[in-house]
Amino acid sequence: MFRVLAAIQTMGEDAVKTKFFSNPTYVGDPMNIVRILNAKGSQEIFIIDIDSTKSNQINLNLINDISEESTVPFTYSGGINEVSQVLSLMASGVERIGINSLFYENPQKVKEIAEIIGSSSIAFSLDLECVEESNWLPLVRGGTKRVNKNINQIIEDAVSLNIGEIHIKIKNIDGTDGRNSIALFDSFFSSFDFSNVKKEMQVLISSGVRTDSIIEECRDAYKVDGVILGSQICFTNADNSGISIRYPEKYRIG
Amino acid sequence: MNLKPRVALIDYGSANLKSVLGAISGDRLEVRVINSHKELLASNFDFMVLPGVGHFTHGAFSLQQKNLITGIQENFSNGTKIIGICLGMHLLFDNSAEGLGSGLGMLKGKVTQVSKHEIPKSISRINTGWFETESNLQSGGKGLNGSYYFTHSYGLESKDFLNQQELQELSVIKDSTTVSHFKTHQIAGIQFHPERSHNQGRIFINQLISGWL
Repeated sequence: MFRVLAAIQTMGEDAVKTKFFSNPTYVGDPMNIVRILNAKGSQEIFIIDIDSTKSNQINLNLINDISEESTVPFTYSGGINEVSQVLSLMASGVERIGINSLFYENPQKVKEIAEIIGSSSIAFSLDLECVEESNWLPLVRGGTKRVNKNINQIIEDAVSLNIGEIHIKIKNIDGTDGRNSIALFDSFFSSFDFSNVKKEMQVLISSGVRTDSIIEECRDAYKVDGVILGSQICFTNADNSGISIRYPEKYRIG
Repeated sequence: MNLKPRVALIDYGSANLKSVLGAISGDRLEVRVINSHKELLASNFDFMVLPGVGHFTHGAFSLQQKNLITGIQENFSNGTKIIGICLGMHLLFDNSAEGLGSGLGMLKGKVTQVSKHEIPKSISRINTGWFETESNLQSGGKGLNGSYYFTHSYGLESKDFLNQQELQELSVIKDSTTVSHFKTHQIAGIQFHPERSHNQGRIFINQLISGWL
């Protein structure tokens, strides 16, 4: 089954949703959202702590609570720097960890982590900004800083570090109504060749997937392994008004 | 008098203990988390559960470092049944193509790279997501059909496995040769994560245990 992950961004004890990697809007209590997603047959849950990226402190109490509540696998991302943090997260019931800054700042540590938890338990978020047509810049530290590195080289490094999953996350369409998503996906996938990468790792699109038709486009046109939904699971309306936790019916389990 | 079957949930530092504990805890079983040789031998356990998330080498090293191998093997020799989940299933075998280190050697079989199995084209080196499973009727036994959550890059292949084990149950990922689960009179292995496969996963593992009672 095509993978559809429900992402919950957290700030402290609150669930939020960003737009363009900033401007977090409160969307509810993370535990309550997990309960609703469980009931709606969500395939997987992705917890992204946007505070931890800045503070490097992981809210393990919240992770423990979510682990007890969730009946589906969940990935955690935010503020991971050390092997000891990864082991605590895995012991708490996290199935997979997500990294971004660590990949650029300490690749050796990433390799070490992959050797302990295995490729399938580590995902790399390739945060990007498109500054003009086909000019793609990688981002780090929650999208606040640009990285001077060639994207083909980044992808090659991710494979050689034995990372099992890559999430393509585009700042320009984060939290938007999705009207520019397809044009940006077209630009990205025509600029970079992912055919060999798909043999080595799972490839997921992680922003701008606002509608069911965009999910289908990701599956059929770009042939990625899955998508990560943010705004689509939180908001009723395209302008991010009306909070309501949802999960697309076609991809539900059970 | 306590008549509940006793389950040792083995904590060797490579495991999603909390979620597994949540999935198998209930009124009918007495589940204890065990992390030492002494604790393993102190009680007469009916079942041992070896969960696992991670790399084979790290798992094998952790079992050895925590001095748990002899205790598991002694309990097994005394008739305690064992269930291995994901990496825990791989550790029931001698070794794995994933890396160095020795498993528990309870079964003969090869843990190999999933991308080398007979699989649908859509499965890459990393096999992650919800997959339909189906009985492998060649086993002569029963299997359980359903949809469960997998995340792995190594696993067992049914064709290597069939001739060597006295199987009561065997299932594979639909349209592939990758083993989803197996069960003999004393050993069960589950490649997927029943603890994270919604209610159907919890029902699956509890039925598997009940089938032995």
